Amino acid sequence: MGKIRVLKKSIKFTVRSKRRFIVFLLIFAIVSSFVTFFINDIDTLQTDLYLEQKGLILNQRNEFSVFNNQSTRLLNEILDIKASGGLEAVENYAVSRYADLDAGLRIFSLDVKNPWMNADVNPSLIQQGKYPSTANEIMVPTGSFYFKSTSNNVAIKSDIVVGQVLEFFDGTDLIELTVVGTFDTSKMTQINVDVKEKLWIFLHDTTYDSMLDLYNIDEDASYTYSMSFVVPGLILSETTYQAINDLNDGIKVILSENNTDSYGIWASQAEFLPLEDSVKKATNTLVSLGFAVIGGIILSIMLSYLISRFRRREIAVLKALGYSNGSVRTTLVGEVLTTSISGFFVGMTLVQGILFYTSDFKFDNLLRWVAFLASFGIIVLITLPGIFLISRKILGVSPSEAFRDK
Amino acid sequence: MSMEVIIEAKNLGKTYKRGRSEVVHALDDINLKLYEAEMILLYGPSGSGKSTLLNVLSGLDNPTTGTIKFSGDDITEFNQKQLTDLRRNDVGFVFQAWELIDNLTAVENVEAPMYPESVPSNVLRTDAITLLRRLDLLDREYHYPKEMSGGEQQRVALARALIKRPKVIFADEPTGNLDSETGHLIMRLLKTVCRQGTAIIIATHDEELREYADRIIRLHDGKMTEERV
Repeated sequence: MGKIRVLKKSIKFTVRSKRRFIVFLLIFAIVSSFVTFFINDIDTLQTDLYLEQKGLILNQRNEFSVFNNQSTRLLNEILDIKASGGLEAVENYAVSRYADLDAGLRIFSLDVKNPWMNADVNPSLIQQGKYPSTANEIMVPTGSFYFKSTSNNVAIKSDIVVGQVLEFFDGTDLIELTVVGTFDTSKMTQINVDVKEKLWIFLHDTTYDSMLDLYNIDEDASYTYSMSFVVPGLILSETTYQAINDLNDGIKVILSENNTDSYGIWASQAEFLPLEDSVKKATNTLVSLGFAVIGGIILSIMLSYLISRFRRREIAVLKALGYSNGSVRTTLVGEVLTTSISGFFVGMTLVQGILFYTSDFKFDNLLRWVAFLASFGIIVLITLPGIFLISRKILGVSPSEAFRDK
Repeated sequence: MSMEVIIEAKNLGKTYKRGRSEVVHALDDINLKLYEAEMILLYGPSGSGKSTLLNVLSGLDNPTTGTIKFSGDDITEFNQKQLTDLRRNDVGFVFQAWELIDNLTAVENVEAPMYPESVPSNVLRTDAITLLRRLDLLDREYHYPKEMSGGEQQRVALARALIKRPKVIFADEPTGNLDSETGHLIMRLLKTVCRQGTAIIIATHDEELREYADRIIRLHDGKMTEERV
């Protein structure tokens, strides 16, 4: 109870030291903003690189022409090239289907175990929420969409947000789908369709089949496929990079030796970012983050030094009044944490504001939780050297200093 | 009626090294007893050892030689935690420059020593308000130190020392920064506290304060002489 009260009071007292609090809060806010931007960059880069450097995505080139058994045959062939291509194994793979149910509606299946491997919604595209994990959960693009009727060409424009429920009813059966995640379509390159002309829904494999039934779509005639493969190894390693190139070459050989009757017409994502460029990109962001973290650590040490130096007499008085080293530390650490965490939240507001005003999609293009939490963790870690310094300084203050003349 | 001995110091000595070889005897063979409800005034010129004696008797500093018994326990054998407990539970301090914390209101300054304790906040606030009322500061409870006069600040400091109901109050020049009238006001308050059972030891230069003392101790070059009032 005592320690908690000391901490609560220290927060109150920090805010009362208005000038120092505001100055350091603003500096921490700026550092937090930089850290968050770089973390966000790394988060995006990491997931992009994962697919760029470890993954290969295959897409059909002619819609409505590839049948289920063709895809299965191709998939088996690809998995077999591990021997010929020198690959020990394809680490992971996913097959996703998509179909146009209506002029205004396209549905995509997600492999629930590896939803991130769907070429169209890799993790770096998620703006809000999460991947669907149950049969009635779906992902949709951010912002508004047009839902176009087939019979009279009338389009309905609507906004769509996380938590919204979409109901599909054919007069007998009802399918209710809840939006649990949204993704950014502005970066999508895999399927060249203007998303604003259709409602895109990404859903569970089984729900995909239910939707086909509801719309009375012939499965074999409507299937189109996308395949994603990931090879073993570290991201940004030469070996992994070579392995994915070998896989790509192997697939090209299979496809060139056969015709569409066997496998359909597929295109692989053959243009990788060169390894050196990926490494350079990742290094630049990490170096920037490093500078921001070092700046933050210097700031935290500076604040802690100022607190412990200019409040030395106050520390002595508190000790003379019976505060243990731990209680004094709680008071001062409370001040440092209050300043840094308040600065972090101000910084977050700045970042969100910048994202909001620079985004095409209002309200949705906000920071992902993972970037937010990682930044918060880094800001707390940044304050640790300062807290360590304060602890050392406190031990060096004798309560008898309270009796000495100023 | 026999009074309980609160502090008993025997053969107390404190030496410092000044420079490489010079040894300063800040305290030399001090023998002293402080009883409950007794007020001792400690006189001496600057550098005579007054502050050192206060530090040593209150457990803020260790003597080089001798023993100090506080309610029967030898505090020279205490570890840091025991000394902290002693300061927290049994000792109050009043400083020359008051040493109030600028960002705390008067009532919060009074409460501050008790913040680490497991006393409910409402009980603590009631105690602090009661003390401020006793010291005629009720209308200043939510004022910050900068908004109060020197006398008012010293009364807040006194309330801060009293909130723990200490056995002893150590005061270092408590009237040093006050005008004569306010100085006497503070001394009268200290005397009232003393009559209620708290032992008080005051280091001062001010000979006008002799009238409040039960005993006077004079220090010169670390040596002690005692005179009855």
